[in-house]
Amino acid sequence: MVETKTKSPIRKIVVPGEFLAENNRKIGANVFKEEGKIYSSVLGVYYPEADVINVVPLKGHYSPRKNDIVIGIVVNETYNAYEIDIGTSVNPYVLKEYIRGYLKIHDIVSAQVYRVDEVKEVELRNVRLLRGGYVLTFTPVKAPRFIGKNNSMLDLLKKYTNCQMILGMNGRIWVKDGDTELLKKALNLIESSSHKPHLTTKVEEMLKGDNK
Amino acid sequence: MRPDNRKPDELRPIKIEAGVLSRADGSAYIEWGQNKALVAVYGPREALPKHTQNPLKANINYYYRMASFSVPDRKNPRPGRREIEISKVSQEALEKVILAERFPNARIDIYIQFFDMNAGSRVTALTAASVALANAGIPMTDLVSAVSVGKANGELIVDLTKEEEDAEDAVDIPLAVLPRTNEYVLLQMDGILEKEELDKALDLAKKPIQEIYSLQKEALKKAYDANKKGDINDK
Repeated sequence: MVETKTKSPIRKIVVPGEFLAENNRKIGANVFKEEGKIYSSVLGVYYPEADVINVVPLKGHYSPRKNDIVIGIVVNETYNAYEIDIGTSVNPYVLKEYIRGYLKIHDIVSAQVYRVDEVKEVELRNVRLLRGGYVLTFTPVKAPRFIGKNNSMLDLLKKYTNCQMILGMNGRIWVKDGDTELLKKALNLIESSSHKPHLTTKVEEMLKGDNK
Repeated sequence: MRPDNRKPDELRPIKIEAGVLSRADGSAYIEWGQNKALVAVYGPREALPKHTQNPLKANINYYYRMASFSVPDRKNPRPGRREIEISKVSQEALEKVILAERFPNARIDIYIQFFDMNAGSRVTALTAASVALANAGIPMTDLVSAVSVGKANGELIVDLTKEEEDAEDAVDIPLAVLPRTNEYVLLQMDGILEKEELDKALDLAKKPIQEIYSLQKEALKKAYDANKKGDINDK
């Protein structure tokens, strides 16, 4: 069916504490060194042939980083600020002076992470109200898979489903209009097989098949 | 000869499944002989009440609970002395592996519910709890594999059943080990053993611990269509 399948790199699922390599390699994320050896610290996918030893996690919670775009839900209002749930352990507050207009509880907003402090508390900026639509969730560590190389996956989803969407790095997608049922199916497929090779081609096949 | 015809270092049949609950962040189901338990992991989430928060690391809460119908006589569902103690020691065992300093002011909750039990339940719970934690994506330095060793009817044995625990000279040693480094993170003893016998009993546990570790790894990898070595099948 697909002729241009490139050879995908060898990949392996590893569990916490599993031996990866000897010490003379560069190390990346989700690994630790002990007594001259490198071990994984999470359940994830490991590429033995890569230059840098790191593990791509299969599941996990959202760890905020500066400049991330996130999707939040207004959960509380005080006299000068809104409390917004973005899936971190502590909800950030946003001062009303930084927001144009007014928000209500349960409103969906998009926002940008402006600052993260040493106890991982977040300051948000560029808070904007998203009118209509709804929020779908996925495991936050898979956000890069939903975006794809150079936005390839997002472009694909937008092209075939005609949905308006904003992807938050905190594991939430705001969607409006278009074929949301097809989008849901595609998102489930990405989430369940993001660790397997040729993800983009598989998703495209599935989207094409359902359009016929 | 043991009552159920097992060899001295033979385990009861064990079945572990990861990711069985959709609403929990991580979960596992374990059947270990007659023991049956469900483990759910929630978090890291905000530690409440606020005075329990620790800005240096996450709190780990371990709740070992028995259903009222899990033992022959009805168990009062209220957590008693035994459950609180087991929760405490198991929690301390897991604190050794969880990288809790990554989650300031947060807490990680581990709930274990037993439906059926027949000796060795704290090791069953710990084994399943570390699978559920890995399934939740919580960073750890190792899994925790646990087994009970001991003595019954004059013989050093592994994985005692209730019948063996009730023997005249029975000694029961629940043991939790980090399989990578062979560190002991839980060791209790009920009964009296000579020092040499204790050393022998601990040596006897080495092989079953590795068996349990491979079962745990297999359960985690199976949830993602991987084979025993972790290679992903391309279908």
